[in-house]
Amino acid sequence: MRWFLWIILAYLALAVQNALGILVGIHTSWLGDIRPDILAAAAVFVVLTVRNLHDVIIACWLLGLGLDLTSGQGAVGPMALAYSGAAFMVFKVRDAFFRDRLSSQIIMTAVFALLAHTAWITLQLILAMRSGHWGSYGRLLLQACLLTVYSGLLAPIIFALMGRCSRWLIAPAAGRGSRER
Amino acid sequence: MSFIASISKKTVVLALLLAAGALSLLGHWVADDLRSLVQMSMLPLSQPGTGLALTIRDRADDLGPPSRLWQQRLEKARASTETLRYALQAERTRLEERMRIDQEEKDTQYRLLNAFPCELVAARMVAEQSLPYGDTRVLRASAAKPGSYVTTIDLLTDRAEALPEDLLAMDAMDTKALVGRIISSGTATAQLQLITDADFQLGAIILRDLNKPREIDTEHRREPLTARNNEYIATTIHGDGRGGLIATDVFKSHNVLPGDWVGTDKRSKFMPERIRIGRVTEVKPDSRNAGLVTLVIAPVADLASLRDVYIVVPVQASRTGAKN
Repeated sequence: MRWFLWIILAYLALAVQNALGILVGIHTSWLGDIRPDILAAAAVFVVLTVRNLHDVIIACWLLGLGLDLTSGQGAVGPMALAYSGAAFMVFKVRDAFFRDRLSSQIIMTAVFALLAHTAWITLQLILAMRSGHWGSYGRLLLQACLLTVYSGLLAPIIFALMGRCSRWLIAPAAGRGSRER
Repeated sequence: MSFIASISKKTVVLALLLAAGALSLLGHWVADDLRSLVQMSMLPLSQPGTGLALTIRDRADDLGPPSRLWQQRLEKARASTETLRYALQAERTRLEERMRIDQEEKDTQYRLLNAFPCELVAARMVAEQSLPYGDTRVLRASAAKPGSYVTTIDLLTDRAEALPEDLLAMDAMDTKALVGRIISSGTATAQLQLITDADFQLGAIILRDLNKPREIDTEHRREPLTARNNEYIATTIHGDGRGGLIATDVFKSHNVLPGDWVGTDKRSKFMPERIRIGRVTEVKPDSRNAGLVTLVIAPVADLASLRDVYIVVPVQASRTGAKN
């Protein structure tokens, strides 16, 4: 991984996600805003493309930390942990999917986003230590589910864009090294 | 350099995970400062990006058929009439209250906030939050004091645009509506918590609309609502996290109806004047207590299109340089 370029890409992706939420976000009176998490698609792209598990986790950690720092409220750190954990789990099953298939991109992004956002919501509620907020846990999980569906549907677009710049982000492996698990 | 090169990636991963865990446990002690730094660094991209997104969305709305645009203007003109009616009713109630309790108060005017010496510091919304689980915004504003209220001024009719004569007869009126509260601030940015955020809470008052006849329970008997007995109802409002507000534990005997106004409580240190917050849209019975109801309130301010806002700074505080 070319880390400097990856950090720049993460910075740009965060700005795009914030602006994109205004344009394509769907407001519902019963659940609140439903906005896609395009960084989840970027994370899944890395999971499917990069061979080294540690590089994958570090890259996803950076994306998660960026989301934490631009999320508005709550503790900083839970999304970094959530993205790292989701990346680890998706990395373990990636061999069952074809990277270039649209269905794989959609499903893996949705699964990644569901794991990450469920973990984030749970951690934030635990850290807030306010019992009254657990009443909205079900609603937040439902909001996260719709967010994951929305994110999955936009994943092919993100994959196509990242595929064009992957040669700048991901250094080619030296020789015919085996995948590290 | 050789030491750095000798650190394995596994060690780096473990260190990063531990750092994330530590940051999580430290909570808001470090979160606000870190977010301020990041928000400041993202200003060059977030501000034009947000502006572009809002412009595109507004233009897309304007591309609707003329009848829909006309309908929007008609609704805005109607809303301005309601606002004038609210101000008049508030004035009547305050005069009655002064006469009844024989107490000296400041003169109120239709133009709210004139009795409260303060400065309105202009600020612009430059970024929304990256996750949709709360309702906060990033403002470009320096040294805004946490706890300060934020309002918007709505010009409800635009007289520069061509309108039929009957609508032109209505005066355009500057009105203020509460948008939220500053929860943290940095060198160049401030975090605005919208009134619809699930963690937002505020003492407020309910002003019953005299144009909706009803009977209320007073001290001695049940009687029709009039300007004389239309007392402000103190309550606490909370954001519901879904774009609205709720007020719980309101006595059913107050007979609050949809359409009644909700405004700020004058006893607030940061906002000792009444400005609009929203209107009641639904009155639900409380399942735990038959004598109480829960109010569903729609905010007056258009929070989805929020761009330019005003931070209310009391005059004493504004002298220390709390400026944009």
